[in-house]
Amino acid sequence: MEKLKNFEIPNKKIEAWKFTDLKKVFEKNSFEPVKKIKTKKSPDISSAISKNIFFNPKTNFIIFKNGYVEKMNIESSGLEIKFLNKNNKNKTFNQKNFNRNDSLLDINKTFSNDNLIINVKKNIKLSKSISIFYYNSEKKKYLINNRIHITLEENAHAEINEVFFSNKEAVYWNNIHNYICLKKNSNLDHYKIQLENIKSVHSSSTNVDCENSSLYNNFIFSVGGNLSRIEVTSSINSSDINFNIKGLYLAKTSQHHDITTLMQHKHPESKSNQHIKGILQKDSSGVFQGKVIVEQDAQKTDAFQFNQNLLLSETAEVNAKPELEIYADDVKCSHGATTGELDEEMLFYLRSRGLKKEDAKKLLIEGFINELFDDLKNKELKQKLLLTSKKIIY
Amino acid sequence: MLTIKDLHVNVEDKKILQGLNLEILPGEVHAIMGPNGSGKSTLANILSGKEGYEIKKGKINFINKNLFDLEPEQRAGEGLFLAFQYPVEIPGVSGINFLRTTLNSVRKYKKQKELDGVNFLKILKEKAKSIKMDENLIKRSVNTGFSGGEKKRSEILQMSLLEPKLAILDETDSGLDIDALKIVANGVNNLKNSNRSFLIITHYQRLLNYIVPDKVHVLSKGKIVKSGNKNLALELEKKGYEGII
Repeated sequence: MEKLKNFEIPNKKIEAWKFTDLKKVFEKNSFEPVKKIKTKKSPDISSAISKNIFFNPKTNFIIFKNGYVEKMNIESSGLEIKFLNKNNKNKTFNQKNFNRNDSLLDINKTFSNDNLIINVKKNIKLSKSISIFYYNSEKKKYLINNRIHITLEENAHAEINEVFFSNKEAVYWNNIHNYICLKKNSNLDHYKIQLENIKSVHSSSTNVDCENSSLYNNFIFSVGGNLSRIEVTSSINSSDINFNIKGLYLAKTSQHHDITTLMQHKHPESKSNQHIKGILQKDSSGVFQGKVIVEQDAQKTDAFQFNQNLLLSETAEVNAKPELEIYADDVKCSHGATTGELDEEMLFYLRSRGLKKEDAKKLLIEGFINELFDDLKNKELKQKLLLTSKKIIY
Repeated sequence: MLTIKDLHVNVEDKKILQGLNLEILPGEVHAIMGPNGSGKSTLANILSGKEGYEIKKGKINFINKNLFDLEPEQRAGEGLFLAFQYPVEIPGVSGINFLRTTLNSVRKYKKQKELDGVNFLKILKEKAKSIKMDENLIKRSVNTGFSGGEKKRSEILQMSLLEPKLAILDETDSGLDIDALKIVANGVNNLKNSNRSFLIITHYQRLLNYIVPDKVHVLSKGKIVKSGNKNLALELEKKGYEGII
């Protein structure tokens, strides 16, 4: 049996981890891989999960508790969920497109807890979303490794919400990696809602293999954790693909939030669009690393990337590293990053209309967030996310 | 209503206002005219409480209160309103939410009951209609992507909602076509009453054809150099500032 200490935990020596030192946090906690905790499975969904505002018993859902599947509910036909093991490896997926320069996937595979396969069949348009809850409850410092392989077959449409949360006492490191394969004309809305408790560590990656005319909308809502690293990597293997990421990291206190993306345009005439925003309070820190690679063959690529940060204290800091690597000559690409405090002109305008300084600030912060949420399709989810962000800011 | 006595103001050691005196009584409409750089906008900004100005000397009294003791939001609560020359765009904040928050903030200050959504919308619709403001504009983010005229109209809408005691219009006429100008003027004229005063800051006489002032002042080098009735504006239009100053 291999030991965790034989792996090099990502740290600042690795270029892609220049701004995020996972090793430092790891050494403070010395997490151990979790083994199945034998508890009696309760027939009812535990109250912690049913109380979560993102939980809806009438949708398709999967509940992980401390790394293992506690309950699964499939309401829709054309949706298949099963365990991933050595016998049913996902062959449709091209691992080569998602090589990593660190140990996180090796750790995940070596110390795997429950892993799943989710399949949405050809031509199926799910009217009910698929919610995946990752709930942790134990005090002992433990590492959790899950992997989910998701395939949307031709013309399939789905919405997947992942919700990461825990009780207050739990101390853990969630190391979760998802591989998504979007077949021709498929359409996925993917919400990643990271609400880990303040003592925990979150590292996750979403790796999306796209076939032609597929549409992927990713929304990252990252507010929890002591240290959080969320990665999204695309492999754009064909034309007419739309790949969108919207993300918000919101740090209340001494948290570290990292969103790292990699867009790999390999084929002509596809689009990627990223808009990542951060709000940082007290002595928190934020990182956005966004790399767009447009290969020589990927003519007429449209790639847009923008990162905006709002610093609400003098001790908060942000590292933004937008990168373009373009080898094709007929492309439209842009990137940018801004970091600043609340706009003085706007504050004064609102105050001159009778708003107290604090109220004016609140309204401007809400505006900053709203802009990102504006065109979210799932309106109910949007309201819940807005509510959650308000609770964190005030 | 408003008394300004011997006001001296610097911006980064540059003297902008140099002994300005002005008295506006309840119900009066005053116009301040003057060339670029005469200190018109500085005066408007000082009155609304904008930072970045050094008050060297002088007093401003607004309805028996020392204006310098009041924060910008308190000035709004007391009934002072500035229609900005360049209203800012606030992306992500919907017009309706903004307007309701501002009206309720002022009501709260005045110890009046805050309005609920239904009652607020009723009032808002009425006011918007009276200045021919498209309701879709109000639903959008505050001023965001508005044309110059739309921004000015949005200022007038805020003014008619807040019903201030003293409204200062800082070059509200600039960039407006004649139709928009009439609508803005109408907005002001509809609000006119014996207790409400206006201070209209403008380059041109044009707006004063529609909002008839009780008094016209010429501002030059930080001082009022000439005051008169509405005919002074006409004279200025004919002779230019050089002919008067």
